[in-house]
Amino acid sequence: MAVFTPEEQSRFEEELGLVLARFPEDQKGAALLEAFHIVQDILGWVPDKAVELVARELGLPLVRAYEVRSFYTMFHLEKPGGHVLEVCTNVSCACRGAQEIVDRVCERFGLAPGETSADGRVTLKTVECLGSCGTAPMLAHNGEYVEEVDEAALENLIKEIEGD
Amino acid sequence: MRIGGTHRVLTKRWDIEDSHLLSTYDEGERYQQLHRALTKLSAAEIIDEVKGSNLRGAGGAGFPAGLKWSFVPTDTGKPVYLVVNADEGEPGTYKDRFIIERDPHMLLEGIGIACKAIGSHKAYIFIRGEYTGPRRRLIHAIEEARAAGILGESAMGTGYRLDIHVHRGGGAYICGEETSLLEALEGKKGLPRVKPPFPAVEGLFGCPTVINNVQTIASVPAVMEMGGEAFAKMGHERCGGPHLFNVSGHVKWPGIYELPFGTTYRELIFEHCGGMRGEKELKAVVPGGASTPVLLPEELDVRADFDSMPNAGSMFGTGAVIALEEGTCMVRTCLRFLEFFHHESCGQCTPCREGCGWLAKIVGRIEHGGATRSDVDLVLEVADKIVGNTICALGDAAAMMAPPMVKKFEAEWNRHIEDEKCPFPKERLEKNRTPEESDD
Ligand SMILES: Cc1cc2nc3c(=O)[nH]c(=O)nc-3n(C[C@H](O)[C@H](O)[C@H](O)COP(=O)(O)O)c2cc1C
Ligand code: SF4
Ligand code: FES
Repeated sequence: MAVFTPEEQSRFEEELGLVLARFPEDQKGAALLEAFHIVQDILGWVPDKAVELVARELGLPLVRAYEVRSFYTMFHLEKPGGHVLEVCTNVSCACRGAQEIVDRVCERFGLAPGETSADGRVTLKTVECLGSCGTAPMLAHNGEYVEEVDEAALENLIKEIEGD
Repeated sequence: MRIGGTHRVLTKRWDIEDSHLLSTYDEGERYQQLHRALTKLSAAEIIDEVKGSNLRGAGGAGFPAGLKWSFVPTDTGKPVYLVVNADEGEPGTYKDRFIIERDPHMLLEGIGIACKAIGSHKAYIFIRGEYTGPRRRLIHAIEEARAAGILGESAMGTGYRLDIHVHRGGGAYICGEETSLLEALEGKKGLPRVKPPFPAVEGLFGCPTVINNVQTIASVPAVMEMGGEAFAKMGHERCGGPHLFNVSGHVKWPGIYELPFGTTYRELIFEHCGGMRGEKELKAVVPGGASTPVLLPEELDVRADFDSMPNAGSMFGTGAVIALEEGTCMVRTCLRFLEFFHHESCGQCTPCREGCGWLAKIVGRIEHGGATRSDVDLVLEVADKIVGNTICALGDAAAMMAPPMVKKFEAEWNRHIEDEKCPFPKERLEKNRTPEESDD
């Protein structure tokens, strides 16, 4: 099985080409993190097959590509749900009720942090500070920040996801 | 969230609609300081101006920016790189994100001036992968600047080549540490390097490299515009200019306050942030991000700057002030920070990798039950074995943050052990945030 459809393949090649152009020609390996981001932007996660493809494209040993994928927490090793919720639980958010967000999401979608709901709808992660401490508590919904979350806002978000 | 303060130098455009666009930045200014740097000033003149400004690194360590630039050798025949640290991961810190969102052109102009000063033609902005929105803004700003001829083969028509690239990180706090960042930028695991060699001599791809925080670089146009001396005067002693204090926690108005170095934490919290949000008194202040030792309410008259804070047994850090109200559990707060450091340790040094894990485990059982009396001393003992025995400052940060949390709130720690559980209630979400608490 190919990693990408033909359209996805050309998007991958085009975006990777732009990244490679940033670096000296003998430093293709520098594009590795961006290459994984591009894969994840396209597929939603970074499967093993993509790691192999990226390693080949950049002329890197396979083990280097694998160790880098696993070192960085942003790269999903499994396909996540349609709605990825990342709730910051560091102190500025925790002291304004972040745990209640986590608990409520777990209860409503029947999952635990780190899991995807049985229907594949929601993936919940607890994460470290996302740089929104002044608008705490917060979460990222499919990468977009939702800030100053209060009970009403949380309820709206859950309803929106349930209705999707 | 509020944007405020007494000195609107770095934040002067933040209240304008579309402050992120070139058309806004253009008004009257149009990269004038970059143009001057490229056409009228020598590298040495720029460095002197920045040295005279007492501009200090805003990434946490406060190293004088001009001095750092002066370490770059100019005769190696290798390219010189400027790397801007936009990895911003220190819990409590969010100022760099707002600089990028509200005034990316100020940052780009600063980059251009810094490049000229160190003889660089290429800058990489290493931005944390989670900053999707800020990254979009930055890319857009670079495109605007390129289209306007401000960047490119001949920056502002001066013949000086200037390229700026944005590069995403992968979600690892440790990559904010400058040498770990270089590893990440080279497409490797973010393991901090042993120094020396220092990046100024052997940095990215083995070439001379200057790494500076977003705020440090974004301050450069202001330094050049008002002159180093005037910038230095705005601050306090050897810390020049204003700083973007990023305040969070239980204050009435969390936000970014641009205030001169040397402001006291008491003024910051009680005059600028409106004091605490409700009826409860202030209990503790984390003054500069998770890595900085906690202050008690009676210790708030210390001046907020890099040189005064060590005398108060703490550190200025990033100016990320987290104010906590009565009723907040300090064991839990300490635990959250320790879990963070344990999670983010790159694992290279045994004292950090094992020590942070042990600290989190011991404090975890004090918070959740199952601890013995000697566990409190054990925290201090384990912390003591980490300090000074690691490659980078992450291990030290964990080990220096925890002991004051214990010593300054000892009764509370003992009570946890006696009760075999946490005596404090869980923090709750607010039902509806009052308008006063959100925007102005
Ligand atoms: C564990 C660790 C994390 C760090 N994270 C950041 C960061 O996110 N952003 C930053 O600018 N500096 C960070 N620093 C400081 C950098 O190593 C470096 O001192 C700084 O980027 C230099 O820029 P400046 O002199 O302009 O402050 C970190 C340091 C350590 C030890
Ligand atoms: S102190 Fe910790 S984070 Fe820093 S290099 Fe050592 S193990 Fe890695
Ligand atoms: S602590 Fe939650 S965004 Fe910073």
